[in-house]
Amino acid sequence: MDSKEFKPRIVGFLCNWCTYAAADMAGASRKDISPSLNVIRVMCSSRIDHNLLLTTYFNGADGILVAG
Amino acid sequence: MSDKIGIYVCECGPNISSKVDIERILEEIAALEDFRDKELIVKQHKLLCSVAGKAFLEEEIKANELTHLICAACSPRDHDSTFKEVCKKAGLNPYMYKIVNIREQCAWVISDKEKATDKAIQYIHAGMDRVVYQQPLIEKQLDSNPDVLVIGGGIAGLQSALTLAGKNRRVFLVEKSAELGGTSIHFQKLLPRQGSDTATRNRKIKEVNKNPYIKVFTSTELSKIVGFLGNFEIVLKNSENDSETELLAGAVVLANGFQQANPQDFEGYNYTDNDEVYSALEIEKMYSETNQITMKSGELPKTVALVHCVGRKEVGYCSKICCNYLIKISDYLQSISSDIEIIDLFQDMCLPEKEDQEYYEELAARVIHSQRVTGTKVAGNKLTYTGINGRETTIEPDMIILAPAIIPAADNVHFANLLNIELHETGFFQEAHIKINPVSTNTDGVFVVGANRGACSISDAVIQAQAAAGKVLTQLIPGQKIIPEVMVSEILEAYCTGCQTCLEVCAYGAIYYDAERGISVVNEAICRGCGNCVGSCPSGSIRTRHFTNPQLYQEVKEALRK
Repeated sequence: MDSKEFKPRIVGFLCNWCTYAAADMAGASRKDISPSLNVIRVMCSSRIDHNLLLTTYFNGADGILVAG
Repeated sequence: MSDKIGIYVCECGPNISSKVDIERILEEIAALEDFRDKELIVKQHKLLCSVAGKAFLEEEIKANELTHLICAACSPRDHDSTFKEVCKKAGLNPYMYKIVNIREQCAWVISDKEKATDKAIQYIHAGMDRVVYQQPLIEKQLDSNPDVLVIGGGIAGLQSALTLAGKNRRVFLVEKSAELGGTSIHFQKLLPRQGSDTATRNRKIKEVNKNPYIKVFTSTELSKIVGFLGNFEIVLKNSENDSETELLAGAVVLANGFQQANPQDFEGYNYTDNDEVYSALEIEKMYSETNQITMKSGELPKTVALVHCVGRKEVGYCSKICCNYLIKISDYLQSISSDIEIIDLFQDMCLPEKEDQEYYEELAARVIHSQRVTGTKVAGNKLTYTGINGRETTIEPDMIILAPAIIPAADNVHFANLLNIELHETGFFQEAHIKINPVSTNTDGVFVVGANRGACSISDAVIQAQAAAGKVLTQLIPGQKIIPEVMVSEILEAYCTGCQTCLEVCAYGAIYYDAERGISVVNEAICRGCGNCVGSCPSGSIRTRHFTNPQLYQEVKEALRK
């Protein structure tokens, strides 16, 4: 594999009640999802505050998905 | 080194084992020997959620005296609670365990086995980092009160009370007017063709009044309510003598009814100019009081126009019951005199129940002259309608009967605030879920039945009343303890500035302001642990248990390690 290939690191904060359930359904339907996405389950997307977003960027995330 | 983390990888039959290399997972995880100075026990099992799998896990927790547990298996939405139960049985606090989803998020979505395995290892590692930051949480048990407060003495309220009392449940039935019966007290007959229904309704009222389990409060309103499912503290106020009654109940069934819109509020229905324009409810009252439908002069009308859909466009919804009751009114009219000419001006005919069509067709064949129109206007004693061909026709009937839209009761806003339940944009109550949970609200233990959640027929009101009673009887069982959610928010007193931002964002009304201490406080029995308040708190003084910042930071860190 080309070591220079850009592999983004994306953190997805998914709401337990909606988006996480949708991700489950994507799994059950055998959709192809890139390993670049790192899912973290939260009980509601409203839980995500600027601290958590900044911490995620400081830890090297290329992108953040907040879905709920 | 006393802490032991058990990591158990589930094969899920072929679901996981065929898509990720479980052996490599076990090797790489076991190789993390000095992981935070904790001993690791790494094993696999065919199917952890099976009876054998659960017994295996329980035995492993006990035999190895595990302090932390990771199950690398399916989605937490499938089996989180299964493994929590195993933890409880084995004596491990269920909040010292974490499920890692390597099925829906690895095995099933990443087709390359190597990459899926890498991903699974990464998720398990993140789970391990998180689980060591988790803290044991203790579930509380609260006593519950099985009594029920029913608000509204109409058909829906009466039926709720009777169904609950049928199971020996104590009911407090509160009615703001001086007598029971609600709006339907004015109806002479009920659809479809039940003959005189005053008897049926009066029987219900009589049954309620003599039922030893139902305590009726007439001329009484709800003035205050605080609490949660199983534990509501209630203050009632008598409007005649201003006296207050305090009582406790475990659930609330709200059946505060509806109102009929004033036709005057809609353009084109100048109804005060003409004495012979009536709303349907006025006709119902006249007929039930005098057994006659007469003009102001006391004479019988020769021609009567029935006008459907008054305000339909303005309110933005169909009121569902009007077509039917106008047919019933034409039945009244023709039973008074077969000489009365009935002109029925409808835009769409809504006949939702299986009995309705036959009733309509039978009357339409004999007495009703039905005419589909696109609009109607009433000015003075003239009625102008536009036919579907666009042509306007003006008639001068002796009497005009309007079917105005059914609109929310004026006190819906008051109850929405008191009980912390949501209103739909139409002003009716919003159900927890219109299809799968239609009489529940977003507040546990508060149910809405009858026409306060949208126009409905009497049979619908009865169905909803019985549904809500069923909900109460299954959710609120005498003697049963209530176990509130433990993954809830808490406010750190030292950091809270008392700005009350969290009070505004909390969807459940779970936070109150303690003026004496100058801080906001979470009512843990009501909080659902969404964390909305955490995100909004400017001083960072709120944390949600089991989803704290350190716990989430650990997961983030590990997710981004590679």
